Amino acid sequence: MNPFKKLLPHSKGKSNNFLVVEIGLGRVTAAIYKAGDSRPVQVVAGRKNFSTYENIFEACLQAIDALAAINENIPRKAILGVSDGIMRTTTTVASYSRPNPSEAVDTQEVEKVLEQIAAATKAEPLKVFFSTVASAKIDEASVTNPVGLKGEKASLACFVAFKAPEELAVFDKLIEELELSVNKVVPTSFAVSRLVLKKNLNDALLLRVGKEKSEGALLSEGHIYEILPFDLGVSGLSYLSIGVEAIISLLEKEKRPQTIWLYPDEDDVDLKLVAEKLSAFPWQEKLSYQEVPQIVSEALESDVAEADIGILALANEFLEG
Amino acid sequence: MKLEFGAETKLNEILEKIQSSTESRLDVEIPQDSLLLANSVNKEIIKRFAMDVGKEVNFTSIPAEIPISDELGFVEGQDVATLDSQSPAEAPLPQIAPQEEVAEGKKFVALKIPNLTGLRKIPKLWWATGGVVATLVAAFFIFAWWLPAAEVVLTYEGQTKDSSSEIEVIVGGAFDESKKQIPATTEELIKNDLATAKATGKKNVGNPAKGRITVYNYSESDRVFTKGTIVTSTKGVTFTLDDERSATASAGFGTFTQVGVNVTATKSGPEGNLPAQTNFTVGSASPGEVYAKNDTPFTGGSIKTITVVSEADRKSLKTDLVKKLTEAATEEIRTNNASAIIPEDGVEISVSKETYDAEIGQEASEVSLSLEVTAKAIVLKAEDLIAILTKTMTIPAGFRVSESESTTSATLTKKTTDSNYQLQGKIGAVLVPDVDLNEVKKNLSAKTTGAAKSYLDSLEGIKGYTIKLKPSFYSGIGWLPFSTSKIDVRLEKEE
Repeated sequence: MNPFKKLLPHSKGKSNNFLVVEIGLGRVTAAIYKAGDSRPVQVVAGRKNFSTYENIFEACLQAIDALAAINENIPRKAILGVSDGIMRTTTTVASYSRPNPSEAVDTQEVEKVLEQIAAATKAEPLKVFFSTVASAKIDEASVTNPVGLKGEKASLACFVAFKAPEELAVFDKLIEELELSVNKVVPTSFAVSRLVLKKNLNDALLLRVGKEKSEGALLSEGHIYEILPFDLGVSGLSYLSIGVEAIISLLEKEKRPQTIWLYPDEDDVDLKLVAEKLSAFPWQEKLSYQEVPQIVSEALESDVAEADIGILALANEFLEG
Repeated sequence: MKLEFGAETKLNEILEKIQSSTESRLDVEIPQDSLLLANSVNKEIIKRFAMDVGKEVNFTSIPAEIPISDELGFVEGQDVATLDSQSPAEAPLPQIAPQEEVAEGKKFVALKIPNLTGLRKIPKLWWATGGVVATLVAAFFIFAWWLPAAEVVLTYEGQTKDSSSEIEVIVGGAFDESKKQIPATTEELIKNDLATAKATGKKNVGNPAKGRITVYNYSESDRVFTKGTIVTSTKGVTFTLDDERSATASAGFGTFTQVGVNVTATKSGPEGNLPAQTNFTVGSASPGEVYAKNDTPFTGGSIKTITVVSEADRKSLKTDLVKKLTEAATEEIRTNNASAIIPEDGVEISVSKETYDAEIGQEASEVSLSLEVTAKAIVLKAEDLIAILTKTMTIPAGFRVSESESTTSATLTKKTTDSNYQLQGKIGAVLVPDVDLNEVKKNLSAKTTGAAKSYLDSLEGIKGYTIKLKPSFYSGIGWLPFSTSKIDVRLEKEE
């Protein structure tokens, strides 16, 4: 018998609410959202902290349990956001000449390219769980979505994310246990990067800071480049800048971000301390920066808690399909 | 020098060890199954940090990591359809919580069959004798061991006792019966919800009437009328001058000078909309010397009552929502700790987030509150409470307190410090005979019914008993079974 069935009664009325489940660096958030005028609106949220990645299944159930205690009607439609764990991401620019330049790019063409990239990009034993076009160029015109555009020369920046099969099995078990209809499993940092790119921040390091872990997302030339988790958080604050150094050093000098935008994994992560620490880092000496990059710790959305940016971004992804 | 770490070691602990090491060349050994080095950013961090502190590290026994940055062979400008499949990460990854499926039943071994041909040499008579003996042994076993069964019901007189006592609770402390001190743990839970209520506050808003008056000066001295001077209509409606004006002295009796000035009613409302030719006194001047009159009607005075959010609305909304969340949190904590005791008033609620969608005084038909509370509960072990409370009462000889049937309650009476509390504990103790049923079984096995009765008569707390032997013909034999597994002993309260 599924003990959660009684917590998840089938909704009888039509509702536009949907569920966002986000596995963060140290806690799971389950929230109900609905579409708003300018952006998704959070109805209610439940949270559960976890100490090790092995406990995420239980933490997810408990977060949804907490949510169900407040709101009995848990929507079936859901999106799942994931962070950390054994994850690898890559962005591959696929360039090709279109056979019929006079016809507009359609979703089938995009899906075909994504399929080819996903099939060609092997990271055994990891499995692909998410792929999308992060940005595109059609005859040198840069766009975020190529669908509907005509042209001959197409370059699609294809973002592909992989995870360990054991972790994907846990997500499948969770979806089955809760009888959810999940429209996609998305790396949370990818969803956040899409919000940030809308603010015209094209070259940046988005750094999600947790208590024990952090996760960096490199944005370069208007699209996400790579997501890189590492095992240092505010509990090892004095070493955090080395993690940032390790990530940024992956980019060529001229492509290194001039902005580092911080956001917390949990409410009690003090970003000001992190910003102070990063400001004191010898940028010129270690990473050949001419000037200290701008370190931003302000909220991306003024009336949304900083630690809720991840679930807001996922809700946005859900609505944008 | 070798630095060895466990699979659960945190990255900052490794960095601390490297920093505190006195050697300049270090071999860092981390188990193959460590998740830490499955991510090569972590490895890069270790290398860079070691370099920063003037040391060189060499990794041993680590898994080959997943490369962290490459383009997987794709080249911008190259047609992907022409590329072969690629395998960038050949190295195996450590497993997350691997589940081993090793069951004993799945182990197979080759069996050796013994040579039994020697048995053919045994004489047939021996076989027949052996068969009879075996049959007799089996019959005896069935008759004396397997077949008989006994059902023994011990009855007792039900007793209950109530008791209460002051008990000290120490979070993280130890059990101390002599000091009536029990340990406790705390459990925290965060709950949030959104609630909406109708706004009930009322506020008058409107505009004051405005107009222009002409001030007549009949006095033989110059007069200055400062801004804000009060002018009062014959019906008592008051206005103030919008600007300063002065009127020169009159030329003599019966003559006057005049000056025009704008005025605004001191209060909002339609009563300031006065008709033309209304007379006014100006400040404290005598109407015989100075008075004023409007040539055109005053207009614009209006007032209306609007609904606003009041402080009481927000307070009431918060009180109701805190109560709702408190009940939900308490219920959940109780559910999560079904076998433990949470004292009455033992759940401390603090509001961690509170956001209203309308300010006090803001016009609105309703106000919403998004609230998050943190509930912190004191959790006690029922057996600790029972152990202390049991000592405060006198228990008749041969009886004990049944933990499963007794009821306990506790009410927090005082918070001494952040981790010390006083509580009033109560117990409705159900007393049952203090007999070990297994011991009774052992003492009854292979006894005659007479000896069994003598033994049962000697048990304290037992008021009566019945012994039933099965099959019924064993009653005539008068022996209880040899096997304790065939004797069923149970306690029953006397009706």
